[in-house]
Amino acid sequence: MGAVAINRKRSEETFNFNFSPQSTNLLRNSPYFQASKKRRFSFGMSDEDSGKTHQASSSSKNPTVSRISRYPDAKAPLRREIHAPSRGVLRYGKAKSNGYCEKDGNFFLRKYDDAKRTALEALRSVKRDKEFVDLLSDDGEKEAVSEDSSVEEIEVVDCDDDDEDEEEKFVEVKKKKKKKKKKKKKDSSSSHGGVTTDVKKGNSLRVDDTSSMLDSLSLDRDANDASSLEAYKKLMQSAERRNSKLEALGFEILLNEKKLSQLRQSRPKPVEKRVEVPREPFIPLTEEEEAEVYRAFSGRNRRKVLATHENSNIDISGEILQCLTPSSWLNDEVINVYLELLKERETREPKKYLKCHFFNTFFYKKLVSDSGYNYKAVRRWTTQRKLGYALIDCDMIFVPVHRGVHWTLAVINNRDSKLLYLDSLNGVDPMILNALAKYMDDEAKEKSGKNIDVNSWDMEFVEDLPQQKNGYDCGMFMLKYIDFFSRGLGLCFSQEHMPYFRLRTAKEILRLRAD
Amino acid sequence: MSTTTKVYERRKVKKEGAKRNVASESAHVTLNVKGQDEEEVRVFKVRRKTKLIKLMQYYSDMRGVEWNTFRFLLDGSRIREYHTPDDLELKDGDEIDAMLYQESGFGPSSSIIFRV
Repeated sequence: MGAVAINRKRSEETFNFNFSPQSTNLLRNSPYFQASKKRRFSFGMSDEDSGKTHQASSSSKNPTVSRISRYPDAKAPLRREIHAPSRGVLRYGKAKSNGYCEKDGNFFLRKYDDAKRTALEALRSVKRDKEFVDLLSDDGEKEAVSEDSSVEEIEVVDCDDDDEDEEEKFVEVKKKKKKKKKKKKKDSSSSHGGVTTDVKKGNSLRVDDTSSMLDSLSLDRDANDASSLEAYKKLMQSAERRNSKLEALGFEILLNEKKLSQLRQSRPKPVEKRVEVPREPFIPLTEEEEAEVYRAFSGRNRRKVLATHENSNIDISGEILQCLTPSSWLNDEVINVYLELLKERETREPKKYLKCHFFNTFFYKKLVSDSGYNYKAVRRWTTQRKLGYALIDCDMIFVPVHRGVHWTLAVINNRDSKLLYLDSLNGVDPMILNALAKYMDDEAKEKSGKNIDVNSWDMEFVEDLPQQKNGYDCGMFMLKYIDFFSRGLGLCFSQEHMPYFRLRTAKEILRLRAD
Repeated sequence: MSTTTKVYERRKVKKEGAKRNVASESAHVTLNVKGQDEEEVRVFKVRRKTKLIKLMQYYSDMRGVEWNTFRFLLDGSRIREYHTPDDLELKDGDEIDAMLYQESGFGPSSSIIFRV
């Protein structure tokens, strides 16, 4: 019982105070106040309290009686007026934000808030106490105690919510209490009411409530079982009222969730050719492969030609391959070889990949040189004889762009009639896409005699794409954009995958096979 | 130097040590090389059976760089030093592009194009 433990010390003092109920000091010190409440509960647990004082033990002997006697005592102080602008000692150092509260009201509120907080902790103990009470006490006390605890419970729960709820709660309770009050002693209530009138209006409501609650509580204690039962019932009702609110909220939540799910379903799903989305591009290297790659990276392999791609007449020596070590800048040989491998991959399994054409890194340079756009310079790059297919029959055409110190990618998406520009640093260059549009136009006319209306094509500078977080991975990012697009996948990778991709690319080049 | 065919022819012939006067083009091929960053087109006449490394070396010397600085492309396809014009089925007037290597970062990639 943590709550009980906390209050151990205080409870001792409270115990003493309990026998002097008339002392107003009690109220002044919220710990005592709280402790008194706790005390009430803790007395039920004689085990833990035994260490406190002999008085505790003695009280436990007669828990019922002592409790009863103490009960009103604990409460009585609350009823008392407190005129002094006491900023009550806040148990947890917090002040509930009640701007309109001052003086007594503030104090009351704070005390109540604190009490609630402590009571929240004590809830567990409260429940236990209830049981214990059942054992030892008769119904009336049990009711009283339980009512108290229930009241506290309710209060606690409410206090965790907005102040408004508290107010409501207060109002409800107040109403109930007031009813009870009317039945019972009115004197005390009126006296208390007199007290409260001194307070501000906004305050008074709360104060009234608190006071009324206290009154009712105390009343109940004095009163017979019926009233306490009633009070209990009313509290239950108020709780249940809240329950209905909660239910309503729950229903609303359910409703909204259903709406949301329906909307999601009705939303058009993105066209994905790949079902097994991210597994294949991320297969880790085997140990053997890794060892091979690291061997290739080693110094003694610098001059040695490690791989020759015959179709493209590119030799990859160790030195060249070393550009794939982390934090190195990729060079064009490696990129061009890799693009060739991608093309071969597609030729091997045409159904698995999109129909693509991969221009090498020099293409754009030739197309747009210092002297501007020059179709003739690349006219012969894409003859049917050379390629085996017509360029405009391809779904996607990849154009690596080398911008001095940076690699970017332009994509001619023939399938969707779009032009894309991907830059791992999110740069923008409309000139490139314009040139490519013009190129497609010229190419179509020249090679196939067709007229593509490239003006109707979209030009998109892709923004939502994996970004590089350093200064050297741009080439790798570009390669991976190409790789994933040619698989028909979205770009579901990020900077953190780059070291893996470097190794994987090295392995694939060494094996002369991209997968 | 200006793109005088004669000069190069002479050179070529010198190296090969023969056939300056051969009129037929069957043994020779006139190739244009265009550098990436220059408008100038340099013309080379080479023997068909000669490896193109010679051409590359000449050009590189002319440009003042090492011969393997450039990537030589023919219609986008890479040409290697061990290729001969016959291998590539080069014809007169074919254009070879000489591009400088591209690395994301280091230095400008000037292109040297050998017009063929």
